[in-house]
Amino acid sequence: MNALCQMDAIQKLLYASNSKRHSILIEGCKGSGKTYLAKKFAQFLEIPDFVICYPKVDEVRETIHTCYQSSTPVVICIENIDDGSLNAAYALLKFLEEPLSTVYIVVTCRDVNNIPDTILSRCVTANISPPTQTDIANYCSEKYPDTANISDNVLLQCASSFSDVDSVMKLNSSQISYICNLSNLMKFNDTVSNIVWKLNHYEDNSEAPLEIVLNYLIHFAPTNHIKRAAIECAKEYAASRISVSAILSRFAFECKYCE
Amino acid sequence: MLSIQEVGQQILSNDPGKFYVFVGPEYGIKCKYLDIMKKHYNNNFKECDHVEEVLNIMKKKQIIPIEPTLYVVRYDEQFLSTLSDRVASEIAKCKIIGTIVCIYENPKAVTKLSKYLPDYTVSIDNVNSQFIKKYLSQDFPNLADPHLSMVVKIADNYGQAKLICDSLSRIPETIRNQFNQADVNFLSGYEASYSDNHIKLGVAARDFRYLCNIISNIPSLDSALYAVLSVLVELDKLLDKPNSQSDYQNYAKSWSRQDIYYMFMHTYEVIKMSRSSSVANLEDSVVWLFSLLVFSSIPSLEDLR
Repeated sequence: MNALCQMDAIQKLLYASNSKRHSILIEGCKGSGKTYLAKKFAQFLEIPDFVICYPKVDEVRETIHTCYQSSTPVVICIENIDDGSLNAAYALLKFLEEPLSTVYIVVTCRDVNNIPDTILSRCVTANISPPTQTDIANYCSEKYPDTANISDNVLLQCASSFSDVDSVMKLNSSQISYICNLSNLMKFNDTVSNIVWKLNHYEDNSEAPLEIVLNYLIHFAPTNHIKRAAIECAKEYAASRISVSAILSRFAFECKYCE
Repeated sequence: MLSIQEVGQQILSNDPGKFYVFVGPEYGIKCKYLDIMKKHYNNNFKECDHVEEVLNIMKKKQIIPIEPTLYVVRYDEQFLSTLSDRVASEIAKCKIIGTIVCIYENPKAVTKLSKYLPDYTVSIDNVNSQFIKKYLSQDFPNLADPHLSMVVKIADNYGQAKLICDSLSRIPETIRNQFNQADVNFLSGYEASYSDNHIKLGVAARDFRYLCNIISNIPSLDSALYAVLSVLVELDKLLDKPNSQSDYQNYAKSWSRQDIYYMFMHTYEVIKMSRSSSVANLEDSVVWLFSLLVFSSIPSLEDLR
């Protein structure tokens, strides 16, 4: 499935695979299909070996070193490099500059502004736009043809990324009901700590998917103030620079103290 | 080896043995025992460089008998290196007028000393805080019990505690009586490692002076900022539920909802800024944040822009 939002990126990757470029950077928001496109790039190159690596210095070095020892072609995908430290990014520089003929490195990130220029200058960059509603609807119908019905599912209507759809489809009816009853929570007459707990946990104390909760609040907030606070909260959460409990506490304070 | 109890019993009952080897890290207790023995020998006391020197004095025939004296030999490596069964036998047979005390701190010396001089060697290790306090109360009867407790809390051993008490005892009583733990820490140059709980307490109490005193000893400013957020959430809970159990219950009444909200927002902004590479000095930002606690009403973000 090639979403509309991914078309430009796919074109770029096709070009990069034809010209045997070894260093690729894919930018896109959370759940927009960056790793999916990295695998697509491996398919364009007809390389079956695909390794995913997380942006930690030791892991990056070890993975690349291991792949360099092997003579078979491999595509290494370093996910969300901007989540890791700068040192993880700098650990890549040497390999991006002097890649082996059998190793292709695809780096994904959420925001190119957080990537050092030294990395950007060594990579072909492919950008994925945020998924549109049409993209979401097509994804639902293709991946979940029998079960996903956007018009019946309030949470699917709020989904803003492909991973949101996958998360919603994993929820059971009581979990969906809990999230949809969050409007009762929006009276914000409880303590901040309780509000934060309820936003992030179901009644059985298991964790609730925060992206889905925030999407719901953004779409169905009773006031513009709460909607704005939820948008800000979602933005901070996506940036992943501050702890989740701090972000949610801020949201709870904004709604409780400013309404 | 001798036990510290046996040696303590001998020395405190004014019946010291003729030869001791003090090893172990607790220098203060060693000095205490030496002081007691000095008094026992009417302050006839001599510091010598070598054990051999003292043994030679004892072997020499004296026309005028020598007075019982305390001889102290510190860190005589020559004695240690030549220590053998022959030397041990010589010491056992030697008629010592007074007491010879050899002092070592190197733990490596213990093996050789306990092998050749087990009947004279005692390891004086760090004593527990209860004993330290007991000795201090005997040494400094003019110091109040709370101050002794404060000193024991920060001292690593009896010797260090004694030095701090000595300083404290020289301060006029009227001033000394107002001292709290922070003052005792400051006097002794004690740099505590502060935990997040100290930060939370300082913020809840709106004690800017205390927070400034400890800021340079905070292991992680980032963790401290999250501690500030955490205590503000706790204070919010206390305003909604005043009877809930909390360490900060007594401080909640000095916080209004507005203050809690603005302080939370300011702290959050400092954390956000700290994620940016353009922040020059996080400590300055944290001091600025703490300074807001001094205001009777914490200013809003708009007030400060």
